[in-house]
Amino acid sequence: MDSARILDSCYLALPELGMLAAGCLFFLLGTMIENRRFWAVATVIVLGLALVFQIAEANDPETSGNWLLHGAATFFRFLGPVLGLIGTALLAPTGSGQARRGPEDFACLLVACAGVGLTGMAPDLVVLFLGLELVSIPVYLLLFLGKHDRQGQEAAIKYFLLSVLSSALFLFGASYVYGMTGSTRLEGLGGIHENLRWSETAPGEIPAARTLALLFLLAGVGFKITAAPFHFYAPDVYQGTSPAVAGLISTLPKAAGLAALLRLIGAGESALAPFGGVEWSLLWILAVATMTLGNLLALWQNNLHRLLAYSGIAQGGYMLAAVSTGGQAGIGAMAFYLAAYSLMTLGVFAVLAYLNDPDCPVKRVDDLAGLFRTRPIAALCLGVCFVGLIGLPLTSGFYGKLLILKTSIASSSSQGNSLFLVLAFFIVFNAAISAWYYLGVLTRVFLRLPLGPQAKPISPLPLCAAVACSIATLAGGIVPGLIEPYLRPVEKATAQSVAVDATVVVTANGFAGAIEQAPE
Amino acid sequence: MDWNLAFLPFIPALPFVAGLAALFTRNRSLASGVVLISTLLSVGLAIAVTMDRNRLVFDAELNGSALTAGQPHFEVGALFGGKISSVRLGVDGLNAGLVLLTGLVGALSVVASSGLKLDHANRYFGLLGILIGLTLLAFLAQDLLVFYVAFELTLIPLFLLVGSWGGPNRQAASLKMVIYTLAGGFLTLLGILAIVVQSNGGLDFGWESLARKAAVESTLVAPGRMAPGLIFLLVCAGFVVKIPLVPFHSWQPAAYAEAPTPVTAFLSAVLAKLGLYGILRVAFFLLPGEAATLGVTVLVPLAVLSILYGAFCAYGARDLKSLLAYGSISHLGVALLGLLSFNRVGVEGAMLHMLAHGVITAGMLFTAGMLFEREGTLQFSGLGGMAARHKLLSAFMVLFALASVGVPGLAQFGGEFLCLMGFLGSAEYGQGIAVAFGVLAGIFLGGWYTITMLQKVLFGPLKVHEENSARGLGVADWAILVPLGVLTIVLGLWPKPVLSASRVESGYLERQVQRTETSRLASR
Repeated sequence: MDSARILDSCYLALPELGMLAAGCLFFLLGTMIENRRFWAVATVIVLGLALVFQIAEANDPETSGNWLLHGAATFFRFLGPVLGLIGTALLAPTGSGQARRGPEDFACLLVACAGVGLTGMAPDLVVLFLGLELVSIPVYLLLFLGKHDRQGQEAAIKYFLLSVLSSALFLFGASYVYGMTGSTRLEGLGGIHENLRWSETAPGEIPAARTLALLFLLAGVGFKITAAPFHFYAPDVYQGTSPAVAGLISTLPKAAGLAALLRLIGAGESALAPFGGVEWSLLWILAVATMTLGNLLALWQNNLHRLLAYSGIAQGGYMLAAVSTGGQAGIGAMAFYLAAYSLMTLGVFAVLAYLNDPDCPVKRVDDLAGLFRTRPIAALCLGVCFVGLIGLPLTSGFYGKLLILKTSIASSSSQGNSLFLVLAFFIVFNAAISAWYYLGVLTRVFLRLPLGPQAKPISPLPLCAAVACSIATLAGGIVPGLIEPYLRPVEKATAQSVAVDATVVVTANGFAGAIEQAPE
Repeated sequence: MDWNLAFLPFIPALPFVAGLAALFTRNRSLASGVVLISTLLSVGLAIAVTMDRNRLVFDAELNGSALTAGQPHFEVGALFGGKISSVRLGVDGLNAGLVLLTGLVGALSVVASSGLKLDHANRYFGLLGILIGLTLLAFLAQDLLVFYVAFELTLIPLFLLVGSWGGPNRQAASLKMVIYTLAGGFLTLLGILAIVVQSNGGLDFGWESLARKAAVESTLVAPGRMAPGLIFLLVCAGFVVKIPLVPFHSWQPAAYAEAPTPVTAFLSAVLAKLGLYGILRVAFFLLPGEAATLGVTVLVPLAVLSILYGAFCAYGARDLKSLLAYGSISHLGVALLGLLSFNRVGVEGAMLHMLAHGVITAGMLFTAGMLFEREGTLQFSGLGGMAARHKLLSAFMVLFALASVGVPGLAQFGGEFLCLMGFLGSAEYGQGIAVAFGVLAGIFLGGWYTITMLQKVLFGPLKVHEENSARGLGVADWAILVPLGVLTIVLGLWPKPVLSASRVESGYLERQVQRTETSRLASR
């Protein structure tokens, strides 16, 4: 591989590499410049540049049609920086913890955003793993740099250990794939069956190794999506950290996990069903278990962060449900719902970050009582985001649920498989259950009187982020027609059948080799 | 002709926008004035549009076309990007009367709220305006998505209205109401989506085209497709909670009792009809085959149960508002039976019954509110001998009470009579007899508890002795009571316009049901 090709490939991943480089620079220079505002502005500039470049690249005719860079990849590469911009506003006032710190938080944020993009565009199991780790490692740092109380330490250790475990599971699964196909390329996955090096099963049968590989890969990704039964860490971790970091943990790893999932099961050539069709049923079970468990456990929560953690688990279940329907429309619905969920959840955490005052902390649901009387704008933002999470009309949450339900009914009748109707029923029942605890919060915010002294916000920045999230939530529900066209390429690009490139790209070739364009 | 189609979007938009604007005013009278005037304006527009509509429907009948030839509707395609749904509004025989009722009761609720003691009154009136606008949108929608969106969104203003300005247990009551309705509503959403996806792949939510396909589609069963019977039950779930029918009613007495009286009036007179209307428009018209079989099997027992249970509970009620709440359950059961007859007599009768019940129950609740303003209680234990102190108010109360008992010549009689007649005309013999006994028992009990209520409240020894509470009717009170009183009498004496308004649609439903019946028999 000559240097010109490596440079070419790097150019294709420029936004992500740029964010990574900027992150490293932040870590280095952080010792010299302590001014928080400076670093926040620098982060916004980097993320903005990344977004501008993404837009330019998305419209670049030369790369269009390359599934590695378009469709779902474009979606995740946009989503990363957008979430990063909102996250910057959340982190800016106090950062990960109460102590004012230099640029480490922002550096972590940049690296995690780059990780989401890289996962979304990964052509190769190795890059996929790299992307996932790029999201996980900054999160350890954010958790560790944050609170130094017992809960904070517990959160950091818990997340670290379980995340390492999930990485190990993922790698184990990936090793099976490599063993079966002799390739780490994702297109190769589509041809697992043809490329089987060793197989004791007759053709047409699903070898057990393939199912095992899928199980381990799903377990690894499931941690990131907080799918049940890999969800145990979420409530403790959210509880042990600041609202800003909890907001980031609830969105960025989930986006990366779903991106990885799409890459694994649908990116190459979905018609081939790389894992022999087992993946849909496994995802179905995962989706139902995740949403039901998340919602039922959320009913008992009194702590806001724990409640939102369970809510995030449950919402992840809806996204898994969308993916499990197996159609391209399902992937589009998942993308819409992921974006909607991320903005709604970040909006809620932005309000909590805004109210984050060490003197009178907002921890329990009851601490929000009477918020509408004292801080009407923050309360309205909470209202919009929670109404969206319930799935009431005119919010993106409603439209997302509508899309998911539609695809599950449609794929049920097109595939003749009533299980997807059952899935739709599960979604509907879960939506009804979730309404109970979301409305419980809203009752306190809008109908109760304030209980004690009210928090004094340090900075209006998180409120601005919350307002932006609320406006986006409403826009996604009132004029989804504006956003829908952008989902079409997500669906189409994953549907394109791509010529299988069987060349073995070994790790030594590294990143550049992995990004190289697939031949037509 | 065409020019008044352009009025259609303004009918829901005026109160809605006025409500939004009122949220930001600081002045109570300004807020209420803006909402009141905009609601009255939209009533005016609605009258203009419905008057024109009658001529169009007449044309359609002459041409012999089935349902909606020349049916006026207005499309705002751009709002949803034209991708999923356009906002299609229209007036036809099913919604014309209910739109007028909504506007009227909405405007009167605004007037009736002028006497309430309210914190942040601007928000109250703003939310009321939004609620009226959304309800009008739900009734006018000719598109299932728009209908559902409006149907669900009414919950937000209701949640806040009941929860912020209601009685002492308002928060629990409002939470319960919203949870119940939401849970049902999500099931309805699933049903609606199943109809739309299975008939056109989820591209067109337009009611008209779906209704045309209905007779063919509803019997189609294939693996992986949701069975039409299941769809029917799903669609009904949300509406049955909204009416409510008996096993799904437990949110209602608390909500009615805790809500501010004008909001209760709007809930009972208008929003309960939204449930019946939804069953008729979505479940019956889009799934006529299932409605005639499964619908009758499931809904008739529920309706009879509601009639009897509601009547017994009303008899046992200790205060005026919960008596009216339970009575409402009982009366709406009769209207549902009328709809379930699937013949012109029953369906037209049900439309009349819905309007009459709206007028009468609004009248009862408004008078109850006035009584509450003067006496400070609605408990029967605290009231008595009111006829001596509030003579005119009592006269109106007696009028509405007699009408709700079903005295001939007043509004409710015709509707109840036709519902029962229609149902007996279509039901099998044994079932008809059983149901008729249930309904008659309910009507008898209705007379009993209503007259007992009059006796407890109006007659007998005076229990309260503060003289200052005895004041006559004000201008606002007259403005509320006179239109409702006049309508109570007019609808009783001259129900023909209401009955003939839905002639085309009820005839169409009758034919559709018969057609699916014959095709079912033929396929056997």
